[in-house]
Amino acid sequence: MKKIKLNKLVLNKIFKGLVDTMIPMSQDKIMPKASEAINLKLFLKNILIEKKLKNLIYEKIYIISKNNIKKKTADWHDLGVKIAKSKIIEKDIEKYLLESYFTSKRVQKQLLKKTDKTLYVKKNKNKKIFLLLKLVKKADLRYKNV
Amino acid sequence: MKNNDVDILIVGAGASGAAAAWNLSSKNYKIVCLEQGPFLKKNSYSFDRTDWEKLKQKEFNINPNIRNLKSDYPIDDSNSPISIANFNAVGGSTILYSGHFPRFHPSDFKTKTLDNTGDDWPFNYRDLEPFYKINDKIMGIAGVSGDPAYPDISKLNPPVPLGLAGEKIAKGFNKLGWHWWPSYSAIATKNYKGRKKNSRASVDKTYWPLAISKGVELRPNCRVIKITLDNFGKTNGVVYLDINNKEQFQKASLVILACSGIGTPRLLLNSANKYFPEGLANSSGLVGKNLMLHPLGYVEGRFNKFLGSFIGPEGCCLASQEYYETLKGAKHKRGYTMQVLRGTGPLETAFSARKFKHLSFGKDFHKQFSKHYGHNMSLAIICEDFPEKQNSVELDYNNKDSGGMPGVKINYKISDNSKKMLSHGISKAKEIMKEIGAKSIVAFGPVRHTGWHLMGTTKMGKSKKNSVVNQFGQTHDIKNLVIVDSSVFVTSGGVNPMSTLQAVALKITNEIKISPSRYFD
Repeated sequence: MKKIKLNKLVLNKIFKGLVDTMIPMSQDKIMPKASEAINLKLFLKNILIEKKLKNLIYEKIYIISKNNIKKKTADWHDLGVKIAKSKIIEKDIEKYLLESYFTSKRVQKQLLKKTDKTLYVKKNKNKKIFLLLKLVKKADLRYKNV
Repeated sequence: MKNNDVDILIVGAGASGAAAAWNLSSKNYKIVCLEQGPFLKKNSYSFDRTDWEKLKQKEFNINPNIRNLKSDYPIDDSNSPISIANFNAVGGSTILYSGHFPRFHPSDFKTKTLDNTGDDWPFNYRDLEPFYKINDKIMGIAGVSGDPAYPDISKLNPPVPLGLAGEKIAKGFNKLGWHWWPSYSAIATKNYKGRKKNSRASVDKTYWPLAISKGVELRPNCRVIKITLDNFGKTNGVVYLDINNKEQFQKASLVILACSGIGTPRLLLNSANKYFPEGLANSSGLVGKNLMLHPLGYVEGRFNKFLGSFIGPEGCCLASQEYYETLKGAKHKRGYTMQVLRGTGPLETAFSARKFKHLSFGKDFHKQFSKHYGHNMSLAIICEDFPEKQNSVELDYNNKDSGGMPGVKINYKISDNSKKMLSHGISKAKEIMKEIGAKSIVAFGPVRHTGWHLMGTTKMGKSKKNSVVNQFGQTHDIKNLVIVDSSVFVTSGGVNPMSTLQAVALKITNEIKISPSRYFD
């Protein structure tokens, strides 16, 4: 397999297209697209630090995009979209992407917003417990007094 | 370097070691505690952190073989359907635990008499009750009094809210006429003794600040590798590796082991000498035997309605002990707790949905994720386990820790009784999920990565032939060598053991305070 080199700027553009296709903005516009939630540079660093994974990803990118890479003037963002749609490296990066996305402050804030919108959290939270427990309290003792 | 002599040396700064150190600190003893792990920085791991779900994949994974930190030791559990979970640091497993904090039942101390299985403890629930109370106060236990499954448990902090999901399942239990009760939880439901509201009570934040303020010296990053004896057959201290892996000797008049049901037998077996060739204090041959792990079943229901089931502390919601005692006509003896675990966080929800091919990347990602997040609720079936000699911990000379000390090998088989109990529990948990309208149910057991509850490997008892320590925690063979952790458990109960193991540590150390001559002379 031919080894390729990609400069950081190109790689960033490719991966921006890639992750935003994998996790786009939600239809209700509450949840952000991936590149708005994660630190793309850090995300890439975490992936590329593992040499084996790096080589694998580069090889797969090369297969799908050899013509573009040779041209050097390709639309790198579009290439990222194309790679995402082909799912060719989805399995390799999904763990990193989900981790980065769902541990981001922005995503967690938005999830909370969504939850608050859906659920009405009552102020007197414990009143309900005692009402529900009425029946259990009336039951016979459940332990053996030994 | 020569260390000054101390009166009491405690090995291990986890749940039981911390309780022991605090209790003994009220007397004028010079006390040192050696802990193989570090004293973690504040907030290194807490549910407040946005990345806590990521941390628990690696650095704070419950499995030491995955964490693989310097403070961990290798555990070969390939010969067990349940893998071992622990954490090695000041605070021990309380750094990672859920904080679910039930007590044993009175019957758990008398299983031989009541059900002709397991063995009776040399003391009973009432003997332990005062220490449960002290421990509840220091750990700041939340809950509700009046539970028909226990003798009165009072002076609790307000309970952890059930949440919509908890209320739903509570209604289901009521419909079926089954027992349930809000969790006894080591969660600060109000600002409590310097702890922030909603924080979990790990002992690095509860017992340790108190013990240190009373003069106990805590030395983290010090791994004890051997307990030594004098010419009279009494222990006179320990050999340990300091943070630079340099061998040190700490002289002590009394040595207390608090290293868990795996770490304690490991240290005793590694301390074999010409008087005890099979391991220190092992004249009974029972050091490392009778390992009990609580086989666990898992039942998860998925619901159409959004329940916000991830809201609230993981593992602390409510529990049912409808089937805790031996059931007339059942195929198994003794019983189990059904613990409501709540739903999973966003990352775990996404991972699980991907695993079962319910979540795909692309334009439908958020829509599909929303169908899962907050829509699931799960139950754990915590089955009582019984002591069996073939279930054991032994030294593993092929796998050594960072200091060269042998790791451990686990040999464990689930008994027929546990299998039947597990199957009964899973079918009952499915019943409740159906009752409350689960759209789909996933159930399996035993769950592999659940070996948290490590008990029985230096069993307590009256006879030197059938046990390793007596009712005062002293090893039968060496009277100034004491064990206070869950390895002394005679039976396992069908609940999380944290509350009971700390109460036992307090009871034993109370004996040291009131009858010192029994231990020191």
